[in-house]
Amino acid sequence: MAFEMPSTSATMLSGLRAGQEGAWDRFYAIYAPIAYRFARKRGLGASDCEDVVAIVMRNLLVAFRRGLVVDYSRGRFRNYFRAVVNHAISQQLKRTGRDGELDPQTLAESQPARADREVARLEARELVRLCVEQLKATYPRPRDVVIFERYVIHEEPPARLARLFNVSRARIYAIRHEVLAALKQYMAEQRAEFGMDAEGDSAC
Amino acid sequence: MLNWFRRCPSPQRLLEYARRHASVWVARHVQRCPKCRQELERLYQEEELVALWSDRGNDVDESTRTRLLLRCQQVAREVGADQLGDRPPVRTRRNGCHPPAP
Repeated sequence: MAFEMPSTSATMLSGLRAGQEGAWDRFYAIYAPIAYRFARKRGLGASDCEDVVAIVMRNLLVAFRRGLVVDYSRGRFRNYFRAVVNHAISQQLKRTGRDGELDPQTLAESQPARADREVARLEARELVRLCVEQLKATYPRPRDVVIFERYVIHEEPPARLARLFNVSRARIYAIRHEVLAALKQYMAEQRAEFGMDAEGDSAC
Repeated sequence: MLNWFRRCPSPQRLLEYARRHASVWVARHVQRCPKCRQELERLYQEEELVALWSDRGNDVDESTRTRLLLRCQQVAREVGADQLGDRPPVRTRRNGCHPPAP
């Protein structure tokens, strides 16, 4: 798969331990919505989910400030993250008096292998979202991004778009290629910045 | 007829095939043509990227994202103050100052 994320970035984890504000902001941008989604999936209301995110981030911040070292022999950072999220959800369910509500499906999802896959899928989605935002803000031909979205995302027929935007059909296909190339470039840059191509190092 | 199957489809037709699998002759051609199979593999990878771009299912809206970010930053400030002890000491009349409440 093209967007496989072999491990959560060792570089990013080092940045978190060092308390780099940029690293934390990016961490929040990717992982806060993931924690929020997991909490929603367990049936918590919006404000309870936000509390879960706050608990998760508090626990992680404290752990990293104390020099958290991920023990890769016991699992990846994703497993650890999922465990922290599950713990926060349980706490919140207790607080709201709903701790008796256990869904066997979500328990199955918390098994390490499944948790890893699920968090990896959501990580990839959040990373693409960040890069799409960046692309929309900086792409030199904004109209091409509009054409791309209408053709590729909303699946409008290229012939109609060609008429509408007064370009050739071949140009529509070329735009698809160019925008995807730019997106891949942004992804590569983000991954490099996060160190996402590297497997977790022993220091994490 | 055989030559027709041997001819490679245009990049546009191959792309349409990658997206919809709606052409029997492209399917047959791809089975025999390693070059087109490789190109198709690349297109499938791009389609995975497109799927992630367009994946709106169960998504978190922008206002929620903004609230989450602000909440996280607030938590970070609180943890920073707790952990680093950089909260200003509170002065009292009797004994000068005391440590911040936990």
